[in-house]
Amino acid sequence: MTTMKRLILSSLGALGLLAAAGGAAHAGFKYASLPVYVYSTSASGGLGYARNQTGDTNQFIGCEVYVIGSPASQTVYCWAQSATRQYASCSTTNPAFISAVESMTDYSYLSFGFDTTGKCTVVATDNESGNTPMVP
Amino acid sequence: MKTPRTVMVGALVIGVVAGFALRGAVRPGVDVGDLRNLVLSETQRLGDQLDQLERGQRAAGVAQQLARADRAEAPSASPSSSVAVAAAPPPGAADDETSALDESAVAAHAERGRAVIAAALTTGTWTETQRTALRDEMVSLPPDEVRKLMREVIVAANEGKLRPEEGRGPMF
Repeated sequence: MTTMKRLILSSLGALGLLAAAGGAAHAGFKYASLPVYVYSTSASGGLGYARNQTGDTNQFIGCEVYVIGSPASQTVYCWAQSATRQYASCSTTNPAFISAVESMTDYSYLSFGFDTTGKCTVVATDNESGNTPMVP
Repeated sequence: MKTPRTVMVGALVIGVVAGFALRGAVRPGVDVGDLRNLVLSETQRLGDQLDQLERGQRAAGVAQQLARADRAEAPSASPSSSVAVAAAPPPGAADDETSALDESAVAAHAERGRAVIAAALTTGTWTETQRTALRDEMVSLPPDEVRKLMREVIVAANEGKLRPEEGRGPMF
């Protein structure tokens, strides 16, 4: 009887370990941290990660597609602010950059580069499963 | 007797004239496509001439209205000055006048936009009110002027001279 109990407990333990392992594999890879960084000619950060920071209202990052002017035309404007309130921004009318911005989602990781005139030199949007999604 | 002869001669003359006309219109070796192209090009040319005439008339109308306004403001103006104002300017002159007006309006909007930025630079903060004020000017500006104003704000922000007010993200 004791042997039977041990066998049952061992089986349950093994099943529990399997379930835990299965759960971990199901969760998939996640980036631990995607904070907003601002450098002298570039900025980057995760949209979801920045939004989800509790107790830190400084971090934000994003882009807007403006249709403005007479005649109206499209201009992309990207901006970022780090936890230490370092601010960076740029604008562009390059259609390829506009397409990149339009592909962004609420779990995108965004990075952009800029020159001394404020013109965007790079716009990169990374939409992948490891990124942090926004929590409302 | 006299009438049938007149008819006969008339028919003969009409026949000959019609024959020549037909031969002229459909000559052997003349492609119908060529004729169609000729008709099309002539139609196009006439259309262009009509457009020019219309533009000239419109310009003349504007000039006449200006002349009337001048006369109303200055009744003692000499007839020669009225005639000079009423003279129809060449085609396209009215468009030039419009673009000149647009240019002054654009310059005014751009100037007001720059004033908004200059005011913000004195405090170092870009407020929601200034953001809205700049937008109000940008909507009436051509794309290159919009970009110029945006870049002014962007460069100032990147250099740390301008900062969005607390809790604000985009500057525009």
